Amino acid sequence: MSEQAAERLEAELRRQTDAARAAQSRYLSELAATAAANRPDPGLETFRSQPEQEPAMAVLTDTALPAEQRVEVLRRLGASLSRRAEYIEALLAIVRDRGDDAAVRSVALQTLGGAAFQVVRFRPHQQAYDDVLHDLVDDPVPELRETAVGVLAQQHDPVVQATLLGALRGDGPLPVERERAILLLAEDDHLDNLPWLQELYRNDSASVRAEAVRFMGSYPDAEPTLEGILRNKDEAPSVRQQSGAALRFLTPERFEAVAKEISTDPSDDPDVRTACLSALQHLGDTDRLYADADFVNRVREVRGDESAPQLAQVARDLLAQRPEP
Amino acid sequence: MTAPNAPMSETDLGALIDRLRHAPGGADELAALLPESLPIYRNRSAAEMGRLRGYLLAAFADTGVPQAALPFVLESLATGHVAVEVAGAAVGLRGLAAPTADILAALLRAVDNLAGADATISFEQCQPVWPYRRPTTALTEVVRTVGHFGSRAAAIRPQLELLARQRERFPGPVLKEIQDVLDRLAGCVPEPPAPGHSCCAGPALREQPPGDTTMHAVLEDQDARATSFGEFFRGRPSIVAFFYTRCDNPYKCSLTISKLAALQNRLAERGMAGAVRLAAITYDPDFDLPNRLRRYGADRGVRFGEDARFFRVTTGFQEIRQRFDLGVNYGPSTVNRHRSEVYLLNDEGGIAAAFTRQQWDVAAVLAAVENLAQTSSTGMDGPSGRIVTVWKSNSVSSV
Repeated sequence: MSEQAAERLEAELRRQTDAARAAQSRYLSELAATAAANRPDPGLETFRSQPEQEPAMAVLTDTALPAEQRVEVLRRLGASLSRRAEYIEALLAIVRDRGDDAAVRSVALQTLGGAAFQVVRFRPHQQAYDDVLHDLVDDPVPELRETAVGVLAQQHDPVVQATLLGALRGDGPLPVERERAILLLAEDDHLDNLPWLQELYRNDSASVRAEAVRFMGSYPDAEPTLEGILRNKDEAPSVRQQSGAALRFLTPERFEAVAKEISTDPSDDPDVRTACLSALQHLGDTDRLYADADFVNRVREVRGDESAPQLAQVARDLLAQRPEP
Repeated sequence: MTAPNAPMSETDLGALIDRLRHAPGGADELAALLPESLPIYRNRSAAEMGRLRGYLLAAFADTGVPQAALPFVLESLATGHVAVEVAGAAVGLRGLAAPTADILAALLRAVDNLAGADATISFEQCQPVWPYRRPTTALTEVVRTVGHFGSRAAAIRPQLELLARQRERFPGPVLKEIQDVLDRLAGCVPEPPAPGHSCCAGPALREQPPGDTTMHAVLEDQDARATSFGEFFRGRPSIVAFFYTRCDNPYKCSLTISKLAALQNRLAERGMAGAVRLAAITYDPDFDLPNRLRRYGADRGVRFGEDARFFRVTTGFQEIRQRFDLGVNYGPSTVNRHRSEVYLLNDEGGIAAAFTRQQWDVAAVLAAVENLAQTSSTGMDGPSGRIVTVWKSNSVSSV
């Protein structure tokens, strides 16, 4: 970069920074004015400081103000405010309050989720945050419910796991869609998920079936199912490829045997054949692969297949790694 | 008392615990339910096991804590990573009149482990439903148990004072609990903790069962090489740990294998690297394929070689499970609970020492290895002190 260009860039960055500072300053002034003009809300009075000292807190906790104004506080200042304990507590109270505006609660929950990434700083609040998430599991606002269930399930939370399992068995309402409930439980491979994943695999959507197959890769008992799916020419190629990946994760040797057959079967889908051959080339036991003369001969037949150019290319690459003597 | 064998629902098991906590002799009957390998725990999920364990341990607050239960209580306190289990262990300890020093140490360890991992739990019933009627947290219960011991816990007052100052670590209510305990201790005349260890201080020793067929069990190592149990574990003493790569408790398998690596270094420093074999065997042989074994060990510092190998059992796992009386059980997909377990085997593959239940100490295992060396016909060669002789098998009683 020339010196002149660097100077131009520096000036532009300085201009943008100054503009952002000015906008922030204007916003804080407006916030102070709003806070001063409004009456305190008794519901969230606990968290209110003197309005002139904490306009952000005053506006955030004033349920009489338009939701957009309160949301704006979090959008503009959320990251810095959530470093302070009193704001975390205020946000927890807002999220918990089912009488408050759904949009404000939702953004407050997102802000808390961001704050929770600061693991050490958030540690004193983690348990209270989890409690609020537990409270949201049966919240009437679907977005809040789904976020809470998702966060808790990722943590392998036993309360939400029990709720989801019970609801899947018909005991109580499901807080999220049935498919999502199964996928969330599947995050914990110490649960009895295989029957639910097999149910999910019967779904009409190929992407849902692919997800089911992906999670089956944690269960050795799923090996025959995965092999069956990989071999099933009536199944969508994307699902078969995912099944191949899952089978390879569980039993690389079984995958190798099946992939050798599929990749050299002219009647099979070219995409699945290419994926299988590519996996064998890049991820398999190369020595064992080349020692299988019958397989190598079949790959030689594939390399000139003009009907499947990608497959032919992978075959040529594979054979080029070990040139014939 | 023998524990029930027939399958029971979680609700029924909870009802049994409730009945025993008020029954004459209930303490011993509850203690008989503690081993995780009991058939009644088969096919339960890990979450259910954690819940049941917490509820069971908490019942000892009503019955008193029998000696047989203490190793289990301390195990949950020191290595538990599920809040309800740790809380149950803490509550259960209130069935003791006075703590030993290692109980106090385990309570402090639990506080450390729970920072950031605490959760709201309840013992209002075995399967409480949210929102709880009587909520509490594991940290709260641990601190309350320290307070319960009053002047007998005065020895750990300095550590409590330190915790009370760590405002960035604990929620306000927990800090208040700690301060309440400190206030109470301030008026106490300090009494020493009860003397001695709270439980089996030394390694447990076990006779080799007659007609043992374990030697024929087929093992596959981290490089997919096959061997038999007898082939690897005969001829020299060995240290063998049990683990599985999907264990999500940071205080169990991951720590065990890291310590096995530390032990390997210590043996090498003492010139004993070739004299003792190291091994780890997975509880989860269907999932823990050679590549997973290798990666898990290497990531934790284990240096693999002819005398340091990780195995999965491809044939004869049940024999090995029986032979070591492994403290493990299985849910529908994988292990649902296990204890920490490391064994020192003599040169015939017999168990010379067992370090189970509580986290083992590298120095203690090293001492047991040296003890075994001294009681066998061992010679030392040269200034490095390398053990060069063939190790003789030890009868259990001579260790």
